[in-house]
Amino acid sequence: MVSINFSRSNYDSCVYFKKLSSGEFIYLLLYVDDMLIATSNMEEIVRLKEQLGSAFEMKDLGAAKRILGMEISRDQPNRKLFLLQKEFAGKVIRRFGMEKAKIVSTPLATHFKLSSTMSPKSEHEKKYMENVPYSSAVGSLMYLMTRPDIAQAVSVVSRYLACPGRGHSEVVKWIFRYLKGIINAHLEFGGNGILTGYVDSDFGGDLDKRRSLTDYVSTLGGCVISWKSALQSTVALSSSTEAEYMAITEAIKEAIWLKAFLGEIASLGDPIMVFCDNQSAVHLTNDRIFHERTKHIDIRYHFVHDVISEGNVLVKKISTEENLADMLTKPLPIAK
Amino acid sequence: MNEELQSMERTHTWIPNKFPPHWYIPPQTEYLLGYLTNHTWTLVQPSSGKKIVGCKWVFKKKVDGLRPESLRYKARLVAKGYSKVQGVDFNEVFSPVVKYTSIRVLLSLVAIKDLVLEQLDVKTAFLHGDLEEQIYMKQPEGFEVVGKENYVCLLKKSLYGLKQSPRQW
Repeated sequence: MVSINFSRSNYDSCVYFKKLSSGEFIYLLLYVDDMLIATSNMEEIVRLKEQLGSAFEMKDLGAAKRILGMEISRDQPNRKLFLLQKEFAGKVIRRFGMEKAKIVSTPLATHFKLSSTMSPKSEHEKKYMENVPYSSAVGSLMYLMTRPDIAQAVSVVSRYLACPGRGHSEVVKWIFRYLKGIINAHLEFGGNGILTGYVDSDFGGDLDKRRSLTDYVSTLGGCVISWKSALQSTVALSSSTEAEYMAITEAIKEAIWLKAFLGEIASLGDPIMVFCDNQSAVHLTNDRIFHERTKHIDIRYHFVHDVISEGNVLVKKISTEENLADMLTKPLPIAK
Repeated sequence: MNEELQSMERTHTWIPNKFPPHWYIPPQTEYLLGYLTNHTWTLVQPSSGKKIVGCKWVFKKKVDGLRPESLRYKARLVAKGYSKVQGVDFNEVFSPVVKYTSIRVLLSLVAIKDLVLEQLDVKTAFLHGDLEEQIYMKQPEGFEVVGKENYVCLLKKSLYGLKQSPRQW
């Protein structure tokens, strides 16, 4: 690959790119033996295919229709691209026998309060759970990488993979029922090239260890490109500000990566706005005021100050209603 | 590669009944095996003290979508790499796997800049990588070379099933 003047991205070793004399880029994305090529110029694609064809035996699949089980469709006049996993979702719903289930409108209902106390205790319960394909069902849900709407629910059920109980499997069924209702949900790409991050957290939402949840959503041109919903590794001790601040740290890490990656492969490099709905956490990122309630926050979270002072990332306040990451912290009915 | 296959001599024992009975074996398979012998491994006398990994055929029926006429029978030779020990038989295990976020970033760029998006599939990707370690393998069942039945294959290229296969290419 390098021999035909492609450079490998420093931020993802499976992405190769080349700047053409016209100033445009040609991209090549590698997934073991699958390749995606993108550029503005059809001639360049033909030339690249010839070059690759002389080195390897290739099968030309033409315009990309699907990659890794994700279906790609395009609306070129409006510069939109859609990514969905309808077929895969249908398959897993059938596989786990949920095709006749009643649909629900939320990925996780508020009446579910999951904790490890629901893990099986009696022999009878253990026997019952042996026949429940809990981990493979959760694994299938994790593979739905075009569905940020179920990310929080999946993050919750995956905490109990080690010892699932009947209560936990009820929740997994619930997620499948939700999935069945909105099987067509897709990610839409397009818009301008502006990167934005949204952060939220819930404070002590995990009933077992009282750890908080980090959630962030990154968007490019208003379209969701990455998200995360995961428990924080340490317990936020005193306030939601602290939990929120730790979440900002995570989101900024992702934002830096995305910015560097985009800067490298597409020369896009505006400062990223990271939005957070907690005023005091925003204050905390912008000045180094320490007081009683926040002085114990670990040094590693203060790398945020350095990044902000370099001007690469800006942290701003946003109302909860407008915060995209909010949907990842709690079970909400959402419209994507 | 095809001309090279045609020009090759028949040197292999041909024991098709080792395959499941309904399997159709195309006539060039023999030549293909010959090609493998030259390019993927070399036949050598077994030396004592070296571990020899086994290999086996994996048979798979493959249909594209719902079209029954596209039914193909695929046979794949895999090395039994699970018996190997890190540090001795292989050093690094890594697959070129892209981050999902990178895919989404790229697709996003495609939409924003209205780029052409094309897809390619590399055939027999694993057979393209050169091996750094010395690995001996038994000869594939049903395709032993006449007169050299007790020889073993010294692998030059990686094969499905080896621990280091995915990163070799």
